[in-house]
Amino acid sequence: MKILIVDDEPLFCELLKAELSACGHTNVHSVNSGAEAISSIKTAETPFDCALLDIDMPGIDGIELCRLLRFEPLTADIPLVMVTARSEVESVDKAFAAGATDYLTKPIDRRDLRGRMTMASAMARERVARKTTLANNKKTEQFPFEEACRLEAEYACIDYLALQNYVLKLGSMRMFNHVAIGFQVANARELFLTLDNSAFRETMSDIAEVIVEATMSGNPITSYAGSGFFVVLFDRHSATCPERLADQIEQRLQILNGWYAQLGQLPVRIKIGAPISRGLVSLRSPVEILEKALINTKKPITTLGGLQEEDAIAQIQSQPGE
Amino acid sequence: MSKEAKLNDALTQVRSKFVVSCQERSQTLLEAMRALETELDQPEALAQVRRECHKLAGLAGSIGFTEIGNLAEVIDTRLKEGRAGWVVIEPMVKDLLQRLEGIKK
Repeated sequence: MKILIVDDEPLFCELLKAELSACGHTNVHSVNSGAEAISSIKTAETPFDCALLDIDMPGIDGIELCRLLRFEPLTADIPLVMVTARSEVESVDKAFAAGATDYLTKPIDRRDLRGRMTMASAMARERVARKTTLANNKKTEQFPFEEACRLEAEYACIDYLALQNYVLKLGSMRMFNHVAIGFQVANARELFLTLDNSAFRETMSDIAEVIVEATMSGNPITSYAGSGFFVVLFDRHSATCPERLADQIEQRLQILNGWYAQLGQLPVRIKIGAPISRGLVSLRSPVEILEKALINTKKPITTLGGLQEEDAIAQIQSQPGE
Repeated sequence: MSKEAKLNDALTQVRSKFVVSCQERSQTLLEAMRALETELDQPEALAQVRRECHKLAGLAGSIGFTEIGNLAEVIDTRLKEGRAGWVVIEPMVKDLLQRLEGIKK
């Protein structure tokens, strides 16, 4: 795995190189600024498979660099691990929203570094395998319905694995300040069966944009979890009420379904689950909150884009009796 | 040479270079302190102190100079929060300088 370290402290780069070498990563390069990183990535003979980015750097800081690398085709889907001082933990929220995969705190803990790099290596291997499969299949993309494929949303829509890392790092106490809402594309399987993989990914990317646009005021972090499921994490204090959120999504979905009709594509229906947050004494782990948000779409508070018979029945059953 | 031995060797080198670099780091902090002695309202000098402490917090703690790392982290955090004035920060920076001086010997 070819790794790029970006940190304005040259001795810290040297230290990381030594630690990475001890866990088997010897193809490691380092630069001391965001501008140098961009230049190295663009001129490298073989592309980088992973980057470790310091957050607080003069010039282009790590968060901005992370955002820029997500727009750069050579690094759009590589693992980006933020390396940050403990005093900047709040910056990590912004880093994940900018597309970071994971983060490490300084001073470096050897076990933590090794654990994070094992995960980054697995992601990088999976990425190479995906690209190889794509090349072998004459550029026809293939992935299973259940896969949390990377979306090409214009706005921030992070990997589900990155979202899980994020909530784990937030920890139970900070998770208290967030609300999670699950969304499910009700007819996702039907879409998957009728569209090719690439068109399915584009449709899910469109839905991600609809969700992100409609939830923008709540500082959302959105993620695609596979099988047509999305989960959005909001600030508890700035989260939009579910009814208003549904209105905003419905408006956008109507326009989107109008375009799909012109293309002869099935309209998309979206189920919205009840919001879920963690109480201060809750036994649920942060990752379980995400899973519960997804489960809540089974009994949706509303279904948008047209109601089918089974959805209507489910909704009636989920209403409290008079 | 085993991986562990190579790592220890590399860490020893990083520590040695760090000790040598302390002279320059102290100089940077002293220059900023002098600037702040003449006038307190010097955002550039405060930023210089914070930048140096930020680097020390990440590096020193990672290579076994835990006390320097912890003290630098406190200064970095206080300056970042902007709640403590120079009157509070200055003794901490002097303490940090003494510790940097200590490891040079």
